[in-house]
Amino acid sequence: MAVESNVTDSNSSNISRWVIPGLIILFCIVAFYFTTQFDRVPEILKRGIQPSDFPQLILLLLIGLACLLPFEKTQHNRPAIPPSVFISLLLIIAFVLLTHLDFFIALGCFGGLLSFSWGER
Amino acid sequence: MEAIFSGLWALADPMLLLLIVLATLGGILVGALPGLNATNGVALLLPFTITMEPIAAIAVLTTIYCAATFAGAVTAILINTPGTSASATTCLDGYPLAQRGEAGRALGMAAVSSTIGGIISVLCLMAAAPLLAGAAYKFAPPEYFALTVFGLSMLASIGEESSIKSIMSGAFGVLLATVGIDLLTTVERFTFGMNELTEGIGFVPVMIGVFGIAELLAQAGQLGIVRERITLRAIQLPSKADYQKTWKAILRSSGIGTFIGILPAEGATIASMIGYNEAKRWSKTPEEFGKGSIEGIAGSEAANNSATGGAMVPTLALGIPGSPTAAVILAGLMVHGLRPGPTMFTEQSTFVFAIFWSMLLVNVLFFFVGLFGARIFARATLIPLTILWPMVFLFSIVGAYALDQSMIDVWIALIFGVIGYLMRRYGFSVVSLAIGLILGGMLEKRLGQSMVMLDEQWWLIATRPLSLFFLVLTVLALAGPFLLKQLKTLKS
Repeated sequence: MAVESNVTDSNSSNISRWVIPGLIILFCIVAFYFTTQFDRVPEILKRGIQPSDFPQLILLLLIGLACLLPFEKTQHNRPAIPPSVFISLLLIIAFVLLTHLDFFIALGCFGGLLSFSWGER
Repeated sequence: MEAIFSGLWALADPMLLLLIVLATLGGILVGALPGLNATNGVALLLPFTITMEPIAAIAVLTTIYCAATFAGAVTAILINTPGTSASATTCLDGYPLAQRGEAGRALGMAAVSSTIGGIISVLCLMAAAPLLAGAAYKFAPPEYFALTVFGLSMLASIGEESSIKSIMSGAFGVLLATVGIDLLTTVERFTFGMNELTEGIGFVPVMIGVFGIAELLAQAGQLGIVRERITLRAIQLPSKADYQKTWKAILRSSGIGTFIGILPAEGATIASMIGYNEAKRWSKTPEEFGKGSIEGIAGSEAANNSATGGAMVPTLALGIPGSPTAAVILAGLMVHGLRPGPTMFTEQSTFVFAIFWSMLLVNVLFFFVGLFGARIFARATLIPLTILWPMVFLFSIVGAYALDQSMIDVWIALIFGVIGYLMRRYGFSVVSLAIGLILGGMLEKRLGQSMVMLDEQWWLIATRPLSLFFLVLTVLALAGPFLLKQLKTLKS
């Protein structure tokens, strides 16, 4: 059990230290690509900056800061997400699907099922 | 002077007064419920205030802010769980007092010190208003831009885990603010051909998501926690000896709270921590702190409630939120088409003073409601999480939907609920995200206006004295946490 717990901690540490910054950088690169697809306006209309300039500036800042994250001395080990959170997430997905049937029926079902899954009898 | 009375007159509407009384009761209930706090209470109620008149809407939101901040003390004292994070230090002495059978005395002191702190801060706010109005004419787009950058830089100090993560969350919020049609050039950005996104991502569904739905998921992870509740017999006013012992701590913490509240992005939580520490430092009996000191409760509660008034200064005067809850109120101001900033005190002075008067009123109201209704509100702590949070979810979703009867707002709230939960789990501040989203639009707009004004020579922003002042403050705010860390390392 202790070994399993260590494995979980190590995985959690890696996710926090490397995977999260990696995902952020990937997201920023994709978003940066989209900014290159924005329409450009003629010089006379651009009013100081092109529409893509500001988002690109922010994305570069995010990439720069994400590169610093793995070297930060912060808590990288986190306890595993409890099953009740996953159940609640699944219920939210079920709620989204049910809204295609009827919004208020979906709300009622979600409320009852969430309460039940959290232990209310 | 005329604005002060016209603000008071605007508040003299029976319906509005009734709304404020109801909001006070609602705010105390929100603050007393574990897990709910002023920020998510205001965020959840925001969509329901959209159809109200601006004065009524903002008065209701600020009332909930003040009342919930006070009511956090109820759960802090009775079940050792702060109803709001600002009451965390109240637990340290409130709960030991309650265990000794003095819960009524602890709650009485919390009510008195909260009321005094709140009133002092609102009076300071009213006195400072004419000064702020005078400064209004010195602000041009470059000054606004530098000020907004300074407001965002303060995010470095509010993250629970790391300054870098907090700034990143703020930057993500700013990025989200670029979604939709660029107002300067009318070019569509990140809309992916979806008409619903052309007006950008709405503040309200994002607030509901990151403060409501994300909290629900966080609560799902804490279902096993059992809280022992202390029975409250009767609340009692502090004795003469209590007043003699605490009056200095109350006044000192009121000053500290007002000052901390005025600093952009800093809120009642930090104020209560400093207020508590200072009360302990100046106390003749510091050894009693943590074991049931009445001074500890006074120091903490006076500071956290005075921070609510202080936090409204940068929010209304500069358009920079003074606390997480003030960020949601700022979103409310913008949704109502109001333009917070230095000119607000000259162009909408009646509105501003009506809000001040309503804050003054709520501070008096929650004193009486707190004294006479604490036993009833204490029963709210008995509501099981398994019933409370599904109800909060229903309330959140209906609120998101009610905005425009649009499902896209519901999806946005849900998506940001999940994003908010993951951000919190990995140490990224959702408060920074909310503040970044609110300030992002202003930041870009003011940068664009400054570029036009300065003939595209952006570096000229730093040559203007007021802009330079804010930019220097920005550097200090960003470097401060790192320098303090280095200083602590050197000392140890």
